[in-house]
Amino acid sequence: MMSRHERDAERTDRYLERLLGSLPVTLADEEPALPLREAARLIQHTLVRSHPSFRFEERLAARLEKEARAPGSTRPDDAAGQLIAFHALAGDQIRSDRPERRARGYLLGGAIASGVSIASIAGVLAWRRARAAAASPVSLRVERPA
Amino acid sequence: MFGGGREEASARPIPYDADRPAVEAARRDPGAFDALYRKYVAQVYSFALYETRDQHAAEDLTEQVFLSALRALPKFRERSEDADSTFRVWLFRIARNALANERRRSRRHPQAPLDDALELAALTPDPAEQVASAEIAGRAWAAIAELPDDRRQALVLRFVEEMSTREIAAVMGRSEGAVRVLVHRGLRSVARRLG
Repeated sequence: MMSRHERDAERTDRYLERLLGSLPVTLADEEPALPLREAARLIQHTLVRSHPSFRFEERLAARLEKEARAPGSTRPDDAAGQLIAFHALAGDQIRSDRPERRARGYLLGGAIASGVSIASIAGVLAWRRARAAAASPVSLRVERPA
Repeated sequence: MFGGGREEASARPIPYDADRPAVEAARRDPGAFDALYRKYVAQVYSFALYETRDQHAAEDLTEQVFLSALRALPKFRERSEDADSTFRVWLFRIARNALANERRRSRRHPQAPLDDALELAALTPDPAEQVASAEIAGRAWAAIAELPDDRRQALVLRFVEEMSTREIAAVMGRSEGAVRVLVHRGLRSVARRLG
């Protein structure tokens, strides 16, 4: 037997599934109280995902690459017998936890991109890449005539 | 999802993990880990940023998480006797553990404001709207920041990372029912603060 708290929590959970998944509301759906719905909608728009700076992302990518290529790092032979066993599953055994989400806004290294178009995000990224490239000794070497 | 012996484990459905091919590729060639890194760097960084509220601390934590994940990838199992996992859930478990270790080590909670999150309205064209949005975002964040750790983490994983209750339960090592209650109580506290 579920307690009142558990029932309320389950109702909130179903509401969030619809809210975050942009799923339609049906007549059978019981909604949580208005203040809670308002708080959920506000948090949805306030808590945006952040993207680290381009410089940091590339620096860490280079470190991971170096780590991956270092002698003694994991190699196929080391991992022999440890590969994930992918079972031949019947279709109904494989299930996704939730429906596909719509694309979310991003906060790019301090600049908020929430609510702007993909083109704007691409513009910001292109600008960041161009700026980073201009300052990078690697790009200077590339641009120097042979 | 949890518990049971080997026979029961093989009979229960496992979550579909869209990262399987990339994980397999990275196991064959660690250099291919880059694809997983690029896919999840923003998610891990966001989680770290909301928890540490400091850009540099978030970067350090993100670095630590991906280095640990790369080194431990051969040990990653989608299915074990006590819990099923996807790569993303496993990655966030590493992130949560790294965060807990860091907090134990430093014995303090960073108090730096999460300024980035308060710049929500930066690209809103109307200046009046920008001020209003930033103020509302600031109040909302203040309410979230005051939540107990587990409620705040549950909300961040639900809203920012858009994880299902099942995934959050696996990341936090709690039951799905417990996670639903955490999220509900977290929302209720925020609603009270905003009301």
